[in-house]
Order: sequence, then structure tokens, then C-alpha cells
Amino acid sequence: MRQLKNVEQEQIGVQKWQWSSLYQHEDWLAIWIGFIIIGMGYLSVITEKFSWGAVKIPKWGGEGNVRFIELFNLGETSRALWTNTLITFVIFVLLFGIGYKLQGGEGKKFLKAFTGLFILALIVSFVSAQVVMKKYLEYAFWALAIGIVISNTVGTPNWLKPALKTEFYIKTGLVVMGAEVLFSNINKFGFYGLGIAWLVTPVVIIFIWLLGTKVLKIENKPMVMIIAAATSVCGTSAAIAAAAASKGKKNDLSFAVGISLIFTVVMMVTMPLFIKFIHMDPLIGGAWIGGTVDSTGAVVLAGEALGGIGGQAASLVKMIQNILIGFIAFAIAIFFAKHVENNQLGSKQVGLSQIWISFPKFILGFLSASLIFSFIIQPTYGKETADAIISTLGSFKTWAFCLAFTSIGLESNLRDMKEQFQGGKPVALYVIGQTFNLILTLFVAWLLLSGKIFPIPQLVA
Amino acid sequence: MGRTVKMVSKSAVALLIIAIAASIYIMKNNLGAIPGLDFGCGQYYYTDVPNWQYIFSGRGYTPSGNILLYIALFFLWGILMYNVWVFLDKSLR
Repeated sequence: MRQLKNVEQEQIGVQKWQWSSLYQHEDWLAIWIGFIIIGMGYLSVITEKFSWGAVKIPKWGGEGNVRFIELFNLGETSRALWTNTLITFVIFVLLFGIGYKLQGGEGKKFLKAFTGLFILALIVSFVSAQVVMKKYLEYAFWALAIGIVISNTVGTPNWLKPALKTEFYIKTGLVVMGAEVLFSNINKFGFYGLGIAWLVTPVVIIFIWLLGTKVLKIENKPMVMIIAAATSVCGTSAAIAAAAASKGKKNDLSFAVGISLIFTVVMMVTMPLFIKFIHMDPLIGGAWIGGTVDSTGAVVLAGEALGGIGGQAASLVKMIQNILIGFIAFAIAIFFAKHVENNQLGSKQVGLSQIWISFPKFILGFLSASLIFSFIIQPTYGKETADAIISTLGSFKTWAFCLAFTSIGLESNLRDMKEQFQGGKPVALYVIGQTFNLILTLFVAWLLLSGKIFPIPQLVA
Repeated sequence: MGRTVKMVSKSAVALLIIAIAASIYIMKNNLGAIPGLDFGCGQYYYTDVPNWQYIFSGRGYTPSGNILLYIALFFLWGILMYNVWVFLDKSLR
């Protein structure tokens, strides 16, 4: 019984349905908090009466950036930074504190614990704002690293534990992120973009799923799913969404994010070199990069290394891949609710009510935000206004995910992680899956963009 | 089969170690950087990229065709693939 409880605590989002869930349970509270943040962003842009946004640590070190000492010397940059930090802390402690209290937690304990967690997340943000770290790794890596070091050396103190609500932060961050997933971008690169991004992605997901569960016999199905989503869609962001949708364990997410980041750094540099070396058409090469490199920033950089046309093709394909997250998370949630969890319970006929109980409800908030921004906000107020609102939300999403990854690190045990390594099977899954992704994407990009079958699209650099 | 899986897994781990070494080398030497573009792998989602409104505006291409057609194709392919996924998951052992 105790073991079962531990498993549930480890999973990202397990709960039973009751009407009181609407104001007591994590998924729904994440939706409400997410929509409060989105609503405030909307009001700040529409009314122009106040500014809305979480603190962003300025990039430091290197030429043209602030020096590290300037963040603390009470100069203009420093004062603005610490004022915004305090405001961000107050906003988060209020929103998550109320959410924690509604879930039956003790407010005072949460305040103390959240203050500690926020300080750690702030340290993570400072480290990852260093000029080289910001470009290559950013907060997810450092949040996991710092958390893991603490938990496996001095140990995570008990007083900090009430704030380690990983799932809560992830779900809230995902609902906010929903506003950024603009479905109206689906035709940005016409049939070419839809073909390269959407023909390939589900095929790669299915391939990795079957490879992981049927060939490599990995028993941890959420881990297979998280790796599949990270490889085929867009790395860290997709891994977070898939982990929440499949109720994956925290270590599964750490592993997928870590491996995706390492290979992304390598692919970002080597793919343009290879494309140039074999004299591949930059249009095809850019689309290939857009469809295969995990992180969006890396895609744009690698695409631009091929020139203007390559950069355009890469960013257009990746843009379409970015909008897939919501629908893929929805499909994963349905698949796991219907075919994985209820199968494990031995149910032969899975009814709608069972699916509803198992379904992670925050996905509804994620999709609603996406649909509202795609089909109401953008058509009503125009692209510029919608983009301005989205810009106010990005920093909240980043903070929510930073808190989540720091919490994951603080709860990670290296011994458990070693067990999950299973002799390297998950690494093999990523490597083979990414190789399949590279081959299939290149084939489809060539098919659509080489001019052999379809007319070559006219891109302007 | 078991031996093959073990061999493949070990090779993948070896590749991961090489990738870690390569990524440290890349970061140390600031490889892959382009003057004027101050971002990289650390910008996970498109809105994390500085100046994303301009970069992802689709300025380089004017799409033709009705958006409803794209949406219909999107859902048709998505539903088909979901059913293929369920079918293969149940059929294969």
C-alpha cells in the first residue's frame, strides 16, 4: 500500500474525479492559475495600464553584456532586477500558495519551503544566464544538475519538501504555454511544411513506441513515450508535455531532457557542416534541420548557418512542429488512459468514464488556451497584439518550468536513475529513433522540395 | 535477440559518451555561433528565441490554399495515425 502511494507520488499527475476536484485538485487548479496568468497578460496589453511579466535575468559575461557584479551592485540594472524578482516571487507564492492551501496543505510550511525553492531556482537562473550557458543549455540542465547535487550530497531538507510540487508547476507552465501554440500557423509553409512536419512526426512516434515497447522491451512505457515526443517534436518542451500526459516519472523526464540537450548541441553544429560538405540544397537541408533538431533555438541557428533560404525553411518547418505539441499531448493522454493504464488494471472494456478518470485534465486547459489564442484572440485583435500578449507570458512559463526542474533534481536519487538506465536501453531508443527520424525527414524533404515531383516553393531569404 | 539488444545498447552508450565530450568541446569553443544571432540550443521553444515575432513570421513564404483544407488534412492524418498506433500496439508482441 505504501509502495503504491509512493508510485503515485512519483508520477506526474494521478487523481480520481469528483466535482470538488474543480477547486481542490492539482489539474484544475493548474488550469485556473494558468488562465489567471494569461488573463492578466491579456489585460496588460489591451488596457496598457500596467506591465505584466516575470523577471528575466539579464545575460551576463562576454562582450556587450552586463558584468556579473552589475547584477548585485545596486546600480540601475541591479535595482530593476531585484524589484522584478520580488514581484515575481509574490505573484508565484500567492498563486501556488492558494493552490497548495486548496489542496489541503499548510500555508506557513509552504511559504517557508517555496521561499527556499524560489531562491534555488533564482540561483539556477543566474547560472544559466551566463553567456555560454544561455546559448547552449539554459535552465533545465542547471536546475536538474543543482537539484541532483543537493539531493545526493547533503540531502534535500525536509522543510523544503512541501514546495516540491513538480507536477503542479509543470501543468501550470503548460497551460500558459498553450497560448503560445498558435494553430493558425499550420499553413505558414503551405503543403510543404505540413508534409515535412506532420507526415513524419506521428510515424516517428509510432516507430519509437514500437521499438521501445516491443523490441527493446522497456517496461517503463511513459519513458518510451517521453523519448518519442522529445525526438520527434521539439525536445524539452515536448518532453514536458508528454511526461505530464503519460503520467511519467520525474526521472524519466530528467533523462529524456538530458539526452535531448546533449545531442541537440552536437546536431546543431554538425548538421550544417554535413549539409555543406555534401553540397545539399540549402532548402532541403534547412527543412531537414527544422524537422529533426530538437530545440527550436538550435534549429534557427543551424538553419541560418546554411544561409537565408536554409534559415527560412528550418524555422518554417519547426514552427509547424511547435504547434503539434498540444494535439500530440492530447493523443498521448487518450492513448495512455485507454490502452495503457486501464490495460494494466485488467479492464477489457474501457468506458468513457474510466477514460475521463484517467485523463489528465490540465490538457484541456492547455488545448483551450491554444484554441482561444489561435481562433479568437489572433483573429479579433490581430497578430501584433496576440504576439504582444504571448510575449508577456513566456517568462511565467519559463519560471514555472524552472521551479519544476529544480524540484525534480531535488527529488532525484542517483541509485534510482541508475536502475532506470537499464543497461543503456533508453539511450539506444533515442539514438535509433533519432536516426530513423533523420532518414525519414530527409526523404520527405527531398520528395517535396527537390522539384522532382512537386514545384519548388519560392522562398525569400 | 537479447545479445543484439545488449550490443546495441552498449554502442548507444558509447555514442552518448562521445556526444557529451563533443558538446563540452563545442561549448568551450563557442562553435556553431553566428554573428548577430545570440541564441542556440538553450532556447527550447519558439517564443524563447529573441525576436521570435520576426523570425517566425513566415515572411519568406506566401502560402496558397485555404487554411480549412490544411486543418482537414491535419486531422485526417492525425486520426489515421492514431488508429495505426493503436492497431500496431495491439497486434505486435
